[in-house]
Amino acid sequence: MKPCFLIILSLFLWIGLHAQNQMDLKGKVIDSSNMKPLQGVSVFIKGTTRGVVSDKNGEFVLRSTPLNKEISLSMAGYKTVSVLVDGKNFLEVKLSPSLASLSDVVVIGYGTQKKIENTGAIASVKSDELTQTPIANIGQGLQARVAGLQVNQNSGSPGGNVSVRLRGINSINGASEPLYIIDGIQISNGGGLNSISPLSTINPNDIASVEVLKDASASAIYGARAANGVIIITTKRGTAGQTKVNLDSYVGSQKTPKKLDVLNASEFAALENEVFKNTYYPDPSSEGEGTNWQDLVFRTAPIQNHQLSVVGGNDKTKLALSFNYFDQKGILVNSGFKRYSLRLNLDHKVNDWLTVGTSILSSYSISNEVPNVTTTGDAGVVINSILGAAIGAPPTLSPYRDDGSIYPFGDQQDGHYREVVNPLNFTAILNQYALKRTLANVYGEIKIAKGLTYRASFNTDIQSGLTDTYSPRSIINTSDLTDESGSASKTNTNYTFLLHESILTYATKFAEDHSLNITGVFATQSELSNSNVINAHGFPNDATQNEALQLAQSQTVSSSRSKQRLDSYMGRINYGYKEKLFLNLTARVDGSSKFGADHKYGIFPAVSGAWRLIEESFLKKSEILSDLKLRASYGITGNAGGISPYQSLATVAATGNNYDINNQYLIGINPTGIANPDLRWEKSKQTDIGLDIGFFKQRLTIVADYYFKKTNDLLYVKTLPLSSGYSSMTGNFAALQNKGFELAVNADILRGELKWNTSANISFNKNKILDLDGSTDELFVTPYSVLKVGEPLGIFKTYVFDGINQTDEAILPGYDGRTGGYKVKDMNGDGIISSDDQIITGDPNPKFIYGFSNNLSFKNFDFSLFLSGTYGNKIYNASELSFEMPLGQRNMFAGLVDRWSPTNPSEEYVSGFQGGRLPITNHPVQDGSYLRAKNITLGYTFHTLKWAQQFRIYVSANNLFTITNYEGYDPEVNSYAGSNTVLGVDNLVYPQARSFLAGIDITF
Amino acid sequence: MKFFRIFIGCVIAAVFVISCNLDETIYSSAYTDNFYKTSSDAEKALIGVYGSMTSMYSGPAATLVADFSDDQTYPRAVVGRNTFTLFSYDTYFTAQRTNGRMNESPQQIWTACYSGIEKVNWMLVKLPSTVMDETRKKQILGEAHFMRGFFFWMLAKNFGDIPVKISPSTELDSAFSGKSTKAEVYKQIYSDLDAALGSGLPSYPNVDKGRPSLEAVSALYAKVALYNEDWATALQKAQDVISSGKYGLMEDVRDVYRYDKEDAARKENIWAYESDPISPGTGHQLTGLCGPAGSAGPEYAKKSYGSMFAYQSFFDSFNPDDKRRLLLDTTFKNTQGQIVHQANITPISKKGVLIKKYQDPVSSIGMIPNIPILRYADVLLIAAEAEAHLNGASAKAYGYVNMIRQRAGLADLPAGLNQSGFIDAVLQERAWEFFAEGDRWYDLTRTGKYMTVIPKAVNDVYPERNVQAKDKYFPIPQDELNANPELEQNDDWK
Repeated sequence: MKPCFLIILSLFLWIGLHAQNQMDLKGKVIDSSNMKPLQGVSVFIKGTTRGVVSDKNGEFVLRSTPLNKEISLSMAGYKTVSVLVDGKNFLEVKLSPSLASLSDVVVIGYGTQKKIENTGAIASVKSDELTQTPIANIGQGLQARVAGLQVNQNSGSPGGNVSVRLRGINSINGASEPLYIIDGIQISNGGGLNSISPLSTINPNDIASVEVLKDASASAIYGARAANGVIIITTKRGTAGQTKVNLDSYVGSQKTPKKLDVLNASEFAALENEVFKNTYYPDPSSEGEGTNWQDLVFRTAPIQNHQLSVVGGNDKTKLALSFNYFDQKGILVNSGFKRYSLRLNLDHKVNDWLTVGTSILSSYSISNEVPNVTTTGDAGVVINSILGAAIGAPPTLSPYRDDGSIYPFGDQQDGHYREVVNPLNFTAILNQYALKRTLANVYGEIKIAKGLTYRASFNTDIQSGLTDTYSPRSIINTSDLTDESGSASKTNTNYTFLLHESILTYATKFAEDHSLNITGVFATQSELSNSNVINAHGFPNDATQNEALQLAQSQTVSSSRSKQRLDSYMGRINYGYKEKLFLNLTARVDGSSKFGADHKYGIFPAVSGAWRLIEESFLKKSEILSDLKLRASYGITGNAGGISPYQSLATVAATGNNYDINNQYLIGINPTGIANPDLRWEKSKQTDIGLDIGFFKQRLTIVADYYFKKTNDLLYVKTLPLSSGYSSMTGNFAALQNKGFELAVNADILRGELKWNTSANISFNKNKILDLDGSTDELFVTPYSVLKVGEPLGIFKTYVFDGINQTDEAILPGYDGRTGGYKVKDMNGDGIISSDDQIITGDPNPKFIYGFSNNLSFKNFDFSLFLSGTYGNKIYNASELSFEMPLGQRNMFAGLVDRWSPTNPSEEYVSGFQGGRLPITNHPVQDGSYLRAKNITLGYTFHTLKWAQQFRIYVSANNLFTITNYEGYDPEVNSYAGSNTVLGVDNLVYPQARSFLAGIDITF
Repeated sequence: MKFFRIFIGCVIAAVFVISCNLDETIYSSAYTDNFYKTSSDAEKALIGVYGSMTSMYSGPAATLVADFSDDQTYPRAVVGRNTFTLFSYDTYFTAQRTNGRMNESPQQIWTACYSGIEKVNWMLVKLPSTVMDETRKKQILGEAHFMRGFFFWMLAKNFGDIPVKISPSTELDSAFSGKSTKAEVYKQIYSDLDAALGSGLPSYPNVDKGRPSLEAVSALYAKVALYNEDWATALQKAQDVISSGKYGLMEDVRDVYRYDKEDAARKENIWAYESDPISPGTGHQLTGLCGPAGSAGPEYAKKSYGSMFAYQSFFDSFNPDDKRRLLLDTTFKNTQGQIVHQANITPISKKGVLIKKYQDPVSSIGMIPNIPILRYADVLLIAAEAEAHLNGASAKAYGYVNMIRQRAGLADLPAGLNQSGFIDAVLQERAWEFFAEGDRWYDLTRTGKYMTVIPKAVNDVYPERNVQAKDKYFPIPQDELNANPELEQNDDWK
């Protein structure tokens, strides 16, 4: 403490001593391109921390300016200028706009870098692009914005998860989500479907920029967790100058863009009579239209977002704070997501050599979920998902009793339809997840010597979640009501993440043209998770829901706790020659507690270089070219995401192998698997060759990259013989590769009064499994999805649909063939249908994905159009397996009106039948290509208001239209969300809403 | 400046010191090396073994696989559930897999048995060094051996030649094992049961409900030997049970299954799958499957689905005086107390016959009825069959059968049957005695009668049943074959 105090004291003395030979300097800053005054320019006395900001008229006053000092004037988008004061007391300075894309700074791991110096493949997304669409999380905002990044909305459920894949899927049974770094704190995004995305707890409006580190050279600095790419998110920080208060609000309304056609009551009644060969419905035609269940579960739902933020500061202290409220009701009744969040970013310059600061992001998110997805087929989808129930519910039944309460199906028609459930049951079930989360860090940065800086940061991510569920007695069939009816649960989860990072950087120049930048990092982190679960059954009534579990007939409890550690050592050297040649060397050593005893540590090196040909004499004078840079990189990165703690060790646990002895339920303990001391990182080797080209003073820029990635030691859940006592073992058995090409184009087509900027990106990726476990060639992961060596992940393998078996047609043996049922092709012609007749019938991976964005402005109007899409991917519409297979007791898709009968020889739809099952064919394989209007916005800005600096009003339409041949709700689906192995399967996923919004954006 | 460097040096050094150890701290489970140390560890490990029964008997695959194949009972066909001999089941058991009915499939038997065997294998390796009361330790090992023998026998009767795996899977290489012949499998079962017999297990009634008594070991031994066509051993072990005098027949056969006579019936129910009206607790689906649809028959269950019935032809095969026919019914009383006639029992047939072995009119949490596995009646009929094979239709053989017939209210078996006639009569007696207990199908397959009996067991629901030779055993699950290069599919299923 003492030396610190002395230093501060001496600083005051120094300032006191130098308070001579000074005067007040006045000045004005103007834009050299249009000669208009520039507001907000930072004016600093060089070598000091003293500075001011120019006002509305471009004017500034620097008090007590030393006579012989230089001042520096800078502003984003303009070239920085230094002027010698030289005794003058008034200065007029012209700033000329910079070639934006060349002077840009990009955020890289543990630092920033000028864009021209960058040797890796890094893409930046700006905040206004991110939040153009009404989004709950950043992942959604990134969709179709970055070449090479495939973002899939797993479910349209509010706050629902996205799966993000950078340059293809790089893992089989491990994690495939990129690593997110938010202000230095790592966030992993789990792939679940019904849970809130961890990213949804972060308010997208707080984000200043997003950097996507795509190749190994950019991401290797994150070593063992970088193989899936790294996404660095920087939140908005304070700036010196006038304090700005901003209010950004929108409200809107959302609807489902589509409902599926199903049989009406009279058609359903006729089908039921046919299936059961009786006359349960004596007069089907009298049943009429019946209940439209989809109309009852879908609704028009409001969405609103309000953000209030303050940004300001002076040369010593800068702050940014914000409050946000986001509330999105779901288009399925009873679903919704709400988030309250606040943020404080503070930076304080203690003195010449010490800066301290903090970032605090805190949020409270509440998600109400309605069971909307299941991977089970046939009857399962009707019982387990609200959409399945709405499609399958007999239209001949009633939704409500006369008193308005939900009418259980078991209580209608003598329980004839008790095996299907009233879709409204799902709306009466409580399933709420509330998460409190605080991401915080403090840092101190010390300038030790010229060019040498040390930064220490302490980061925490503290999460506390509560899941509340209650399934009421009121929706249970009266005949089934027992003392055990009514079930509830409470799940508490706690997660604590602690991270310390020490970063030492040294930057120097030597022999004039050579620059050197050295970074060293030590980081250590630990993660602690625990959970407590209480389940209870049997409530006297629904009054207390799940808030008095002691009332229940029976309760069960469970709890668990786990911990993991990661230590890292990293070094990086950036070398630059003039502005022409750049070289980057990176290496990181990571040590994780999760891995086998012999593999605790892994080394991840990368090398990359760039050559800016534009600096060569033969190009320097070019009128057309304004930038030309060739980049190349190679590196090894790791992935540890799929491993959970303790997985490498032999353990015993209570896993439900319990038994009644003497009428008491005793808990057994048993071995849980085979130890794998070899368990280690997945290792991904990636080569990237890229080209950055700029034309016409950067009016047109193109970034193109080719990459080749091979991942070895892939985590694979090897199927074990069941006779070993276990079903599987996780080990580093598999290998796969991804290669692809990405292209991003940005053009300022018009720059006059009518401005038109357009940007487009397109990505091609090819994925191939090289090895599963050495011996397995093929593994079915669903009845129709297969993992096959030499093929991409997720391909469909099925029998080939060949119409319907007609009357008197011979039916091949070997499957449950029947007249009026599916006919399948005997591919090998052996006269028997066997598994040998299954062939690959579809690839769910798109040939390419693309995004296309246009921004226009004319005077005070602005207009934008944002399109995105995929091409060439197939979808397995698994809902057909449930709703085109008329087994009775559940409703079917409308096409079944045309079902086969002896008098209607359909080749498309099977006749009604009972028992048995139909073969899994490629009939449900459909083209999943789509082009979607993600967003259309029209805005108007008032510039000349007295009470506000800026006032913009806007309206927007989201998901206005989707051009696709796909027959389901939404082509952007996967019922197995987040899965690497099951792709493009639609078992009735929550569709994304079409929404219309109106908003205001005021800056005071 | 010096100060900063010292300061930074200190910070970095401090951090390095706190962070070198990457060993894992475990909280919610234990390392295998730290388990099997105490008597309570040993007891918990043994419960884990019994726990594997739960996954086999909750469906219960252990009875449905057999009972949906035989000539006595059939399911109401729904997706993933059908009569096996008709069923388009493939080696992947796709229909059950895709419809969440794996727990009713032969694959469940395979999985559950080998999971239990692995747990026993670990116990047999680890327990010898456990510090605990040696008498109890010996019994625990005995129970473990008994269970392993039982699991191997379940596998053998369903799948034929199977891997005999008697050491734990400690590393990847030890997870693979090839097929053993029937002789080798039965040799292993004998050896396990011999070990159990010598482990000092208590006799009934001094045995915990759910654990095998000493006599239960002999009863299983007798049945195993019967399936192995080792008549002398079968007879010997059956006689050991009979001569122990510990067990006997219930006077009224219906009391064997009555929910309120469960403990009294332990006199006959030597060993059963335990089910209790407690929650959490172990249970099974049979009560719900056998009761009328829509929980319509309060005498059957609080909640029932009408999913399993007996063939009318089986019902008709009983002598009307046979008390065992009272365990079937062609009418039931509905919730209003009215009689529902046979034509209205189920929409799938006018000839629905209800099964009354698993009735539980009282429980709403869990259910009472145990599923019998080894009954004293079984021991008597094993003795009769084995005696007849060894010595023909002797008086002793007649004596055993007639005990069963007398209890059923029937006249003695007509005298003068020849050996094969007598054995057929014993098999017929077994059919009447053990229906819906997962037994009949194996009588048919071990004697080869399934090829002739099944095609005749038809009704309006299943008008045609084309049984094939390969149906003698179920196919080894494709999951197993895919993962285990050392194993081949049964020849008939290739």
